[in-house]
Amino acid sequence: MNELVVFVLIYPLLFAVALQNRVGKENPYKVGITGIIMGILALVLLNNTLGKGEVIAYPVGGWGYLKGIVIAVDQLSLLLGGLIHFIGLITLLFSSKQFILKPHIFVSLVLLCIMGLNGMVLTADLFNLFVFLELASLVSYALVGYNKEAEGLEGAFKYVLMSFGGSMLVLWATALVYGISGSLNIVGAAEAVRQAPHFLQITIIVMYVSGFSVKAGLFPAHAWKADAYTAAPAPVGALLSGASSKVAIYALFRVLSVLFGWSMLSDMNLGVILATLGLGSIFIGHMLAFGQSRLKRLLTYSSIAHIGYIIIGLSVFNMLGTVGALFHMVNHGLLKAGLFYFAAVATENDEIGSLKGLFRRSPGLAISFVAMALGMAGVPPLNGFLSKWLIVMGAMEAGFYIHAAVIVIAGLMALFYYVPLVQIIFTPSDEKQVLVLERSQMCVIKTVVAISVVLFFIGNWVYPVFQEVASNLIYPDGYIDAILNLN
Amino acid sequence: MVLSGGIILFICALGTLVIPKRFLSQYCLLTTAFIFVMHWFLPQQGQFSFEFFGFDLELYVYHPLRQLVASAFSFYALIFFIYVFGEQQSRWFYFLSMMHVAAALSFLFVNDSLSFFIFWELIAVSVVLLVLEQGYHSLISTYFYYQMTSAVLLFIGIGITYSVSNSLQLAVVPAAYPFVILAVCIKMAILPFHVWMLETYPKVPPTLAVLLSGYGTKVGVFSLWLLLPNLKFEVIGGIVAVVAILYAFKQHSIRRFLSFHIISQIGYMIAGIGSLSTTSVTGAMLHIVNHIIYKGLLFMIAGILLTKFGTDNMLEIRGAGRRSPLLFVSAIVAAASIAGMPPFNGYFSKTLLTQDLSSITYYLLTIATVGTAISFSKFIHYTFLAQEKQLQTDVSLPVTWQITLISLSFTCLILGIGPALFWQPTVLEFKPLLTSGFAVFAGITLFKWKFEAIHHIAVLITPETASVSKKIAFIYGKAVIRLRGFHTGNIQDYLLWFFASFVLIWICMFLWI
Repeated sequence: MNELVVFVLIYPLLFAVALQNRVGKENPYKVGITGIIMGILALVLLNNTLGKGEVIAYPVGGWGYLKGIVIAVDQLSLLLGGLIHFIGLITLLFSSKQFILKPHIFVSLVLLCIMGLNGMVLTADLFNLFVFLELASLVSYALVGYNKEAEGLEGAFKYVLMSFGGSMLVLWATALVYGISGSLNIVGAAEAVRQAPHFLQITIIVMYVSGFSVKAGLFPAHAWKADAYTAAPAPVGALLSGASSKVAIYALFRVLSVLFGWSMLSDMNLGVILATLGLGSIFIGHMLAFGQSRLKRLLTYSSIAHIGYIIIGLSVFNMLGTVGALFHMVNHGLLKAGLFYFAAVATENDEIGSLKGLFRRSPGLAISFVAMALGMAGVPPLNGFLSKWLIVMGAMEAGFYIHAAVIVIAGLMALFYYVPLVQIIFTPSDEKQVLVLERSQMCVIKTVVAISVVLFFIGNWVYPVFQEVASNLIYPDGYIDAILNLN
Repeated sequence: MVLSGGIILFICALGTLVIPKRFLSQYCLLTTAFIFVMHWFLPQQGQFSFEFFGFDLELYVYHPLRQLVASAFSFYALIFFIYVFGEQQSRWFYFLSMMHVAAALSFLFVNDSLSFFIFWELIAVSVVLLVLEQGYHSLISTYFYYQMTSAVLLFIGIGITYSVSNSLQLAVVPAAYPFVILAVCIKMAILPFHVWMLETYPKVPPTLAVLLSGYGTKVGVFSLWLLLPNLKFEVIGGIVAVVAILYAFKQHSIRRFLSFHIISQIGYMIAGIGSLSTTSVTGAMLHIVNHIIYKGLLFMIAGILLTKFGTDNMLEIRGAGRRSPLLFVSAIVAAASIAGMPPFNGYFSKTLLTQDLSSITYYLLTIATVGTAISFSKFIHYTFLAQEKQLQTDVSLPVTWQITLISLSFTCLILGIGPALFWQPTVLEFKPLLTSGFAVFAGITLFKWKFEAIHHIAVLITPETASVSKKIAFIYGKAVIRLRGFHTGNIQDYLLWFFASFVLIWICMFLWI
């Protein structure tokens, strides 16, 4: 069954190629959706073969972990993989009715993006990680500038420059690790890196942190995000902010936790620094989202703030915070994707003013928006509340009082820009024309709302799963052993 | 396993989304009647707890005082659904008002801070959605911001308590006092945090005001008892009661006037709960019950007057008493109850809650009682007795309104005369105090004799509340504009920030170890 791992990695490539023939050009969305559903099935099968705390390590080509590339799957990678696939699926379902030029190219780009993100999640090889990171980034530039309008191209250009800086740092860090240990495998390099001089260790850590923080859009490398996501077509914004930035955070913490170990990281003050960056993200994101006139820009700033939540949750280095952060990745990815879809269908030209009177024109859409906005602000009974609660309690437990207080206050700051939006939506307008949505689009938005309500109520059953996932990140012994056992 | 009525009501509330529309009002009536019967006649001992998200939640803990207040809450819900029986309301209205009642009811029985917080927020969120549903979208912002500020402060307090005691206990640790006290003050709408109340209660449709006046602030008072069981703050209650009365003197809009009287009555409850003696706390809880009844009655009267006369300015209505005797009598009953005139219900609970107070608080509350009598004399005088102005207005009341008025008036009387019939206070020695009766007569006399002077003094010594929230909003907006100035869209700047931060982090890491 372990060969399924390889299937998960390469199926998007197969489908992206298949999209270029006649059948693919005629039904691009159907082919793409079929591909993603197959990927989800593969993930489900993998999940079933994976026992509690087990790790599947698959040496590609049978080269062993020192020379060859190793793909390793545990619960954590499956969770992230599931998130990527789910958001990819609803993105394709949603945009299937959207007017996008040359849809077969669009769908194959989305598939390639999913492939890059998948690779980042599954690989246990540092250079491979860099390659997949670059693949995902390259495809993202193309997706951001997809409409070939001036604004999109500008956003894509800024994205390219910033992202290049980040990739460069990641590559340097990888080179340093290779120089120290002579291995590109995370596990193979870990021992030598842990005994390396302090100076080099810190340089590696800071390079990884800075490099991945660009991809995640963490303060102070956040600024490209607003231009890029605003200019991108709304489904692309959903995919990038829902999945792509989370995967960057995942990669950062996975690499650091295997290379250095959780306890060493928390001794290094890394937590304080990362949490402070998170604090900056929260303030910048929520404050700049206030008073925006364009919905997608507002949502982008809000997602910068939520990256701050996740980073704080992870950088307090305890169980509660980690579980909260991982849960928040899922919640935020889901709700933010839903809000981007809302922006695509409810506004004209992305102007917030055009939302006026939406409640009369489409009550279902308006109510969904209220629910999603409340979820983003962390108000019960929606899933956003639970993850926020966990992160705050984790931060309080670890003694990060100010950070916890800021996350709490951030809920209020989020309301400062969501409440005016709700008021605009409920203001009656002269326009009487009913807003008719495609059935699949409405269905996607309602599904997002339903899942976020359900996640609140089944939190009890979700919690142990997330606890297991978090222990995969905190105690990477199983991961290390599985790879060491290959030779 | 014992389910509290609130949880059952949550499940019933989901029913309003599916059953046919013509049975909606009957359905709500029946379910709330069932919940009322359950709380009143079948109090369930024991508790209900389970593990949620790694925390132990206790959703139901029996305590006689919790059960007492829950009975009042469910009774008021029943009365409310009788009141709206004939009205055309949407399905969402019924759903959300059921949710509101259910959240308030569940709130009364919880014994851990996570579920406490969830219900605390749900109470506010359901109100916001109700106001939106009624089409008053411009009103939600002030209400929501204030309520969320309160929730935020409470959340911080709970977090501090958790980090110190490592448990989700309700009684907060001293380090969290400032946050929690501020949070509860906002929820109780005591001066100067009352702005949210003035922005909703007098402005929403009368039906909604009737619902909101029952629960919104009372949960705050109740949470004082749960969150701060070891803090003595009775004097604050006395001061709040007096100051709010001074503001009430100035009001001519009936619903604004009633809002200030809510704050004043909450002062009594704070004094009772803050005295930490069992008798006074019991008295304060009884006062919550009585307050829900008579304040609900008053808001119904205000709503009816507003519907019939098109205004709720008491100087413009004038002389409604001769047109509608029922309205007049129930207003008299309610006013006598709120002023604490024997033998109405306010008298009993006020006597009880003043049993163990320090003398200064006691005198403050006596002054407040005199003030209440004065200001309600004004209300009765202008609205019902003065020379008639609007002769042609039709004041005939529908049956449902008559039923609610009569039943609430009778409840006021019954709860005053025979509290022992319904609820046996076990630890109390009931010492009848006629002081409040005298205070009421003094108040009425003062109104007849020197009201003009009192009104002038009140206007002189009560400053208009400065809008701090607007100032904060202004500063916030300025900060946002300043921050936006940095984000020019210039890619060189962005790259510079990025590389500078890289170097800075590197230096920080290096120096700190």
